[in-house]
Amino acid sequence: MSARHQFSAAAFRWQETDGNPDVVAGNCKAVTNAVRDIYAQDMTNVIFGDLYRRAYSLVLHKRGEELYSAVEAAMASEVQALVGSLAVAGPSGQSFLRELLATWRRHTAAVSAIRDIVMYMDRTFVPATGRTPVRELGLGLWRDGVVRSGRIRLRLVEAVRLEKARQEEDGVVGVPGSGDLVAGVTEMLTELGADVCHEFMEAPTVSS
Amino acid sequence: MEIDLDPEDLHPTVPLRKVPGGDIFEAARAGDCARLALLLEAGANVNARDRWDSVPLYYACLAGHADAARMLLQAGAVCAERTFDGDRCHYAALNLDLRRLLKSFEARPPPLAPLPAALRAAFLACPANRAAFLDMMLQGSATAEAAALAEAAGFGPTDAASAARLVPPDITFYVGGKPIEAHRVILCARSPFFEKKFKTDWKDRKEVRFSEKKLSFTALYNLIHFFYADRLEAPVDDMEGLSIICKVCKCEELHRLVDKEIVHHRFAPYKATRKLDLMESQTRFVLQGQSLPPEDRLPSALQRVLHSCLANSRQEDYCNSVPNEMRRNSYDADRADLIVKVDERVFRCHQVILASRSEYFKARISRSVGFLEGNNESLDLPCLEAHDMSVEAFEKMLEYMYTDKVEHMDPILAEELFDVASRYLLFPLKRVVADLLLPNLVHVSPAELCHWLMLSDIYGVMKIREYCLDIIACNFETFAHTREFRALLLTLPPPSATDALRTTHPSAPGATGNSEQGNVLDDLREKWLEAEAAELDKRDQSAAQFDKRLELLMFVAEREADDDDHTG
Repeated sequence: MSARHQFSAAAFRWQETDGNPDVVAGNCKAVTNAVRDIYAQDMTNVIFGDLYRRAYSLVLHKRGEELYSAVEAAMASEVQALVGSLAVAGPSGQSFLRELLATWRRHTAAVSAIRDIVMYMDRTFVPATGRTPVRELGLGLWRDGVVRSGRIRLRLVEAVRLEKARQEEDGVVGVPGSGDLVAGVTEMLTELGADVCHEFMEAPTVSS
Repeated sequence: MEIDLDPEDLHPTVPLRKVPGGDIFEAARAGDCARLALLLEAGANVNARDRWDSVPLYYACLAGHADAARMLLQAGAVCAERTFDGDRCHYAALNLDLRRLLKSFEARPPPLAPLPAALRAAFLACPANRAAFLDMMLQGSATAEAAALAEAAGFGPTDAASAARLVPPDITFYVGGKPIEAHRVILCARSPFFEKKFKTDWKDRKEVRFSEKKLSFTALYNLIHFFYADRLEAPVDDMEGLSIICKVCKCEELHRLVDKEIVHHRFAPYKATRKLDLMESQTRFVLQGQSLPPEDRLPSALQRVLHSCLANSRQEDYCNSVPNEMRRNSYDADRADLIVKVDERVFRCHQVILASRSEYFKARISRSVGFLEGNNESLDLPCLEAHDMSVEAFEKMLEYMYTDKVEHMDPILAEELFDVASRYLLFPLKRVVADLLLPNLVHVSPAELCHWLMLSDIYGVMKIREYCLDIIACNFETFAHTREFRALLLTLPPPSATDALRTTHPSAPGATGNSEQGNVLDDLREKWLEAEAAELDKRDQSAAQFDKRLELLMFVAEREADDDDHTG
């Protein structure tokens, strides 16, 4: 008797959300909104437990595809916005590097927060379908959208070259904090991949 | 003798055959890694022997499937050359690369159970412990070997992501200036000495410095490592120090075993028949938790902790009248540092356990550090809320997290526990629940079996899914007459491939119509063909017949659904 009851009650608990496109769309929307808020560093509406549950239920009901592309698109557009803000940011040289590194840190923090929210997708849907994991997705977006994009690439190379020249002039200890900038850039590039670091750190010496 | 093969030689020139219905032996022989992973995940015994007295690893080696062999070895297949099974594997290995693979796994101890493995990772995630671990490994062996061991221990050279996200240790010991980081709850659970000390002298200490000359850093480190991993690994020349420290820590059984080993080693030179044996066997001493009596093992120790936590959690609702002072004393005893609120019920538990067992809780705890204000009366512990979950299911989940097992589960909880296991990324829990549920499925009606098929497909519980598919395939006509089965057909995605791809060469290499597995109806057809179909060239006709039957049933189901709409 009780087993029978359990069957009818439980069987369609999951189908409510599965069959209902509004719920699916709502959940997707909540996650993409969260991506936006995280990049804007506005955490008031980002409730981890709730968002995780939404992402989880999407993947569980075989809507991983939609969630993945929604997250990917949202991250891409946020990174584009960051590029825009960088393009207008200050003159070249130190202030540019400082701005770039600050934005990079914001980006990595955001990616890790997003990864936590869609962790269930990252652990199940992503390996099963051979997609790029969220962390690598974030690195890739930054690499191709920011560091390698035409305007920023040139300014970065130029700024690093100037910075190095200044260091040599002043002696490394001359300007406090300026050594950190180059080190920070190197660290960022290494994280993007050994070849990226190579590509940038070799370029100035070859040209000069 | 060294022949280096091109890496390309290792890849088969013909695509590997899939054996969707095969057992672990067939999967190993065919090199079907997906199937093998599924069987291992479902708890197949990796060292089982078939009726030819052969183990799966033997078939993988014989047929030259390096990936399958590696998978079996990682799951703990025996491969030491001096064992019966290991010797056969070595002898049968298709090429030298396989032999090298076998050799490289020879010295590795078998994999740990999920609980000790998770706690060991938590221990080694503390930077000081990790540095000490790598240091000791380097001393003991060549660099390449150390790197392999480090990899086996679960971390590569760079692992920034996990290092940034550790459960902060709450006590640091210094022996001769070298630090060991640890968590009080684990130490107290395993040793009466630590329990007493943390109640008295060390109550509010963050660090403890030892200056006794007799105390060896290696010995204390290895003992604390044992507290987490339930496996003692120590260099043989440090055994005396270990014995002393076991005695001080009042780990009596362990002390006895270590002393026995010391005696053994004292006389070993006289017993060994060959010098070589001696050299090989005498550098490291490894003691598995299973050698201890059950009450001294890690799961029982943590079970006691869990009991006191649950007892305190109960007090929370029923005995609010207990004087605060008394409550505080019993709270100190369970050393809880996290509160989880489920439906008005408050559970006291431990960050180190929850975070090391479940990546979800790890993220949740570290994300909530910002706003850990005690909104929960006078309790100054961080508090989480778990929604969508019953108190009973949460209690069962805690039981699993602390002890690696679940006893006496009400089958009504099974569905919820599958959900919990998926949601909180506690995948091994699914298997435990599946094993408990399986005996209950013997007597259920066809309608309920359909329900379980659907659930196990959603939550990816392969053992239950296989079981249901087997029953349905063998009693297909019964199910065809069940309305719930026909309704289920409508909710499932249609079978994937066309006739031509599916069945023309069901077992020929490359006949993989759909690379992503998981279509229920495809798997059902496969099972049905296995059970009912005619042999060889007649098989296609049988398959076509089965497809017709499915189509017809779906048609009936649609009409029934329409009727329902009209009447309802």
